[in-house]
Amino acid sequence: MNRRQLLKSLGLLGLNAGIASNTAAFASELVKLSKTNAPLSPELAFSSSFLSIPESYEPTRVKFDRALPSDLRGTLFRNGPAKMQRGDTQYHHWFDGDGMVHSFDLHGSELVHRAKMVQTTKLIEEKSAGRFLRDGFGTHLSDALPVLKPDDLNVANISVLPLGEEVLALWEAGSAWRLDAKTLDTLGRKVFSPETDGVSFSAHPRMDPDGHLWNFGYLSGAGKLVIYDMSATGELNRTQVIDATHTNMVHDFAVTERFIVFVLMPITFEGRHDVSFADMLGWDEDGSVEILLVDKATLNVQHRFELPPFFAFHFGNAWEDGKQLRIEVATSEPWKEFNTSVKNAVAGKLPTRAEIESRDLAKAQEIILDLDTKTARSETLPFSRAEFPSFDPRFAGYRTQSLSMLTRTQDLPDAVFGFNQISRFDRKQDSVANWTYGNNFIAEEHVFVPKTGAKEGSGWLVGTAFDWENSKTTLSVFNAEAVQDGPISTCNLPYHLPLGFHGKFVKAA
Amino acid sequence: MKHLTLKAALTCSTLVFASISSAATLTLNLENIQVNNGEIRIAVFNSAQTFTKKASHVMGVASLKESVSVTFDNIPVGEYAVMLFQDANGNEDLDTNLLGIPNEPWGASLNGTRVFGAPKWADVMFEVPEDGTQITVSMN
Ligand SMILES: [Fe+2]
Repeated sequence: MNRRQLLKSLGLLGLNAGIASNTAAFASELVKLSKTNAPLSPELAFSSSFLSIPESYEPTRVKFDRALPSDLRGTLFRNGPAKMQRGDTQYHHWFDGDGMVHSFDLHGSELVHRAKMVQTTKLIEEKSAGRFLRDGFGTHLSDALPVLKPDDLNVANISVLPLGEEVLALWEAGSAWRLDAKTLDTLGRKVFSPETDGVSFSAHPRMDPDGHLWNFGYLSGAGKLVIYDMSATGELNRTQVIDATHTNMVHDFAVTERFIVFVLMPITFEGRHDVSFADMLGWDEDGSVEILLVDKATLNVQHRFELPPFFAFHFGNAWEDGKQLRIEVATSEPWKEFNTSVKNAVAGKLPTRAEIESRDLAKAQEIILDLDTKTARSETLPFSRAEFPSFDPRFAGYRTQSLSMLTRTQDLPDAVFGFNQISRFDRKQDSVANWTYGNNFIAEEHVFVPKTGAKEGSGWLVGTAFDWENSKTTLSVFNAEAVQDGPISTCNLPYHLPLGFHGKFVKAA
Repeated sequence: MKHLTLKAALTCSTLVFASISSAATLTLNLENIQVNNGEIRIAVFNSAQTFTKKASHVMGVASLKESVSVTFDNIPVGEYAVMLFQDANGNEDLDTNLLGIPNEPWGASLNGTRVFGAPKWADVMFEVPEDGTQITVSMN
């Protein structure tokens, strides 16, 4: 769909009394544009990705411009919020939208793309009601149904976990949802065991080279983490509940050879009826970041560390280095500023000066824990305005030389929310290689796909990017060791996709 | 979300015999029941202090239909709250997961009040006047 058609689809924005004023402002801006056919204003770039999204994308075969390496055969699964509006109800936060899972089957010189909405209980109820009945993570609906359990709000929209014939659609605060890996049809809610039924299975499980799959769950306000120890194929071996402060929002964690690593941020929580979940979360200025090292063998907390407060969603790799333990951290702008920025981006509003400046706080650092002296410190990694870390998953928990992230260039207009550059840090050379998409692109996560039998860091970075000027999404493949040379192969989809979160690549057998 | 006190509330079986000085009737219309999936166990509380700790009235009712009405006769005029769950596996207990979140259907006298997690007294309290009252509870 071209932009002219896209702008004609304004009906989807629901220009009626039910919507909030910021959305109305966004919509009227688009109406204006549809009349003048002027270029899309950069502040609308991000939110325009959610326009004209179908209920599903039927299998579509598209050619790459150059043949793919023969070892790069397999499927990239991706997840992200897709449904931001239903009837006269509208969500205002990126994290709110109902999840859509995509698969891109790569082989030879083409891919087949398909996508389906995850048929959660919430989605099915709301489809028949013709409107959102539940709050989103960051949107409070005044007449929303009560939340009697976390899964009432489950939109299954953050990431995926491929498990053989199935792929799980993951949310952070609720159950995983089972999909057929081939058709992406929803098979049902995943229940690992009676005790974990309805315990959250968060969105960043980690596989270690021993073939253990690790994950955790939590419940805001409960002060506990539930640890899942699973086989590589997803059978539950053990669970453990540990007490911990700062478990009101926990997005990611890490594993090393001997430890499960939690970096817990001083986010406060106050259960309320009258605001969105995001607004129940606050920040304790006087709090500190607490780091827990849980012994993989006993599942008990073995070490505790503290650091001055910072906010982060994601971690890169982590590993033990003699008596030290290192954790790569994608530090974010502070929680409140991040939240405001996201809502403004969804509303198509210009970011404030403060929001723009806070982007410089999104960078990367390495936390260094000394297990002997029980001290923690951090060092800056050479990324700025960065997010979505990716590393060679074969070495999860063991030292890796390279770390890739999305970054944004200084010349990307401030009004654009997101990232436009692929950056890769090489520890040996102590240098960062960059490749920049044009300023008309917003890049999505690029996952690392290892080359069979090759050394650590040898492989490809595979990811999508949204060309908001032309309303098209592109999938690119980079030689991970020569990111600066640009994509070795590119596939331009004939349509655009909603900007999403995370993916996983499964190589063909 | 704190569900940790909910289990106590819903499994409370302590029956406190009410005085029979007044004769109001409380009618509960239960909706959204999972049919033929165990007994529905109802607990009525008559004060904020005893809420989730000590029920003033309890009742069990079979899950034969999607909705059912039950009545409590001869209850004193005053403030009440109702919590209930469906004992699908018949173990006379509300099953919860590792984080205390119920795994069996439950409901409360919310009367349209929005809650986030386990309700508090103020969320579920209602008055029973002299001429009685009717409350609708939808099972989760
Ligand atoms: Fe994430």
